[in-house]
Formats: sequence, structure tokens, C-alpha cells
Amino acid sequence: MSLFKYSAPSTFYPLAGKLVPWFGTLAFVLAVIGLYLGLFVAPEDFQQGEVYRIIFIHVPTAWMAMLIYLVMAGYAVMALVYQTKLSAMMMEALAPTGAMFTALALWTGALWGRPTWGTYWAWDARMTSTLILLFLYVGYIALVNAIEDKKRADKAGALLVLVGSINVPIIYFSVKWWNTLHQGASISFSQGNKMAVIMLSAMLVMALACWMYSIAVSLCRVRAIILERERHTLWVRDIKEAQS
Amino acid sequence: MNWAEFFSMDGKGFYVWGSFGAFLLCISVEIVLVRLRIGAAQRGVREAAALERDSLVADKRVDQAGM
Repeated sequence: MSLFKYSAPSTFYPLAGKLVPWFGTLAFVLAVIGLYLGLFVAPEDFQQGEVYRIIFIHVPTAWMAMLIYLVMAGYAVMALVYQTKLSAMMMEALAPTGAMFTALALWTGALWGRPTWGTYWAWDARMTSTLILLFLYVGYIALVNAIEDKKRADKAGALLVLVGSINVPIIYFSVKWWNTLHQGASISFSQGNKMAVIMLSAMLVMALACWMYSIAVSLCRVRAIILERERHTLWVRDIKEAQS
Repeated sequence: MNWAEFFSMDGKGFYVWGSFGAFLLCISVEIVLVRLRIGAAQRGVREAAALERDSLVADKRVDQAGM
């Protein structure tokens, strides 16, 4: 059986419907465990006190903001090279969730910055490049909705996402390349982990919960997009949920 | 466990709960919006099918009247 079988909307639609409850349940269970570990089990930080607990939301949302954009860039390549309809639909399905996580990363960062740095916002490299990422997400959503011809909209959107993907490594390495107010990475491949194990576990479980949630919600949204775009096709008319 | 202490978060409750609250609110709103979008898309499919059926019936009538 070839995976390419599922690159057609007609075969992907029922598969996505089967996967959503699994990813949704996983996300919920992981979020409950992550929140329990983060709020009740992890001890107070010796430097920052209780306010450091924002890390359990801030870091997972910031990671998801970057990861979703990279996944969109991967779909953009497929949409441009193979002209697959589903790749463009997946990009459209992922963008609102990516924008939401970017906005949340900025919001929680501001709320963490005020008590620790004394300011909600600074035009430093990490924060500014993350704000640009939010503009890229919003720009992509506005662009694909502004062009009526879906083929042209998908192509323009894919190009924008590809060009914008240069911003992701800039966000990631900004704390190394420039002297920023934002602290360095808590976990790095070269220097290992700088956090206590329980704090790290809570953060990773929350990150995994956000990841599973993103998959579940984008699969749900892509099903709606498939119905919107393919509503004049015969296979869509035969779908039971759409008939009742 | 003292709940008042837990919610006050060392006097930083506004920042901590402002973050966790925004996270839960955004996710809840997104789930509702996606459900509404699926409902609207399914309605769109039904409407498109009904329109097509109506136009087929109208075409048949025109054909019959022509005969």
C-alpha cells in the first residue's frame, strides 16, 4: 500500500476523520498530565519563584509556532513541485493554529517579561522575529483569502510561506547571534539540559500535548476545507455526514 | 494545600493565570470555530446538491414542455 494513496482529498478525508479522535484524546490526556506536573508537582524556582510556571505554556507554544511554520513550508514545497491539492489544503488548515500559537507565545512572553525583566515588550531579536512570524502567518491567511482563484491563491501562499521560512532559523538562533534581553535556550543539542528533571518533564509533556492538539485540530479543519473546495464532486455527495 | 496561596502565585497570579487562561481560552475558541466551520461546510455540500437537483428537475420540465 502506498502512502501516496492518501494524497488525494477523497482518500484522506475518511482517514483524517478516523485519526482526529485519537490525536484529540492524546492531546487532552497529555495536557492534563502536563498541567498537573507543571502546577502541582514541579517546585518553585529558586530565582524566579512561582512566576516561572509560565514556561509550561510559553515554551511549548513558541516551539509549536516555529514547528507549524516549518511543516507548512514542507507542504509548500510539495504544493509547488507535485501540484498536490491536499498539500495546499493542509497549509491552509495549519496556518490559523500556527498564528494562534505565535500570538500565545508573544502574549505569555510579555506576561513573563514584566515581572522578570520589568517590561512587557522590548524590540530585541527573539521577540521581534517572533512578531514577524505572526505577521507571516496573518499575511498568508489574508493572501489566500484575497485571491478568488484557488489555484493561484495556493501558489502565491506557498511562495510566501517558503520565502518566510528563512525567519524560523533567525528566531531560533537569534539568542546566539545577537545580544538579546531574551535568555538562551533552556535545552540545546550542544549544551544539554539546564533545567530540573521534573520541570523539563512537565514542559516536554505540555509540548507533546500542543503537538497532538495541533494535529487533531488541523485534521479537523482540513476536513472542512476539503468539503468546501470539493462540494461539487460526486464523492463528497456520497459522504454520510454531509447528507444528514 | 492552601488554595488561596496557590491562586496568588506569590502575588504573581495575574501573570501566571493570564498566561494559562489565555492558552485555555484560545484553544476552546479554536475548537468551537473549527466545529462551526465543519457544520457550515456540510451545509454547503447539502445546498450545492439541492441546487443541482432543482436545476435537473427544471431542465426535465423544460424538455417535457418542449416535446
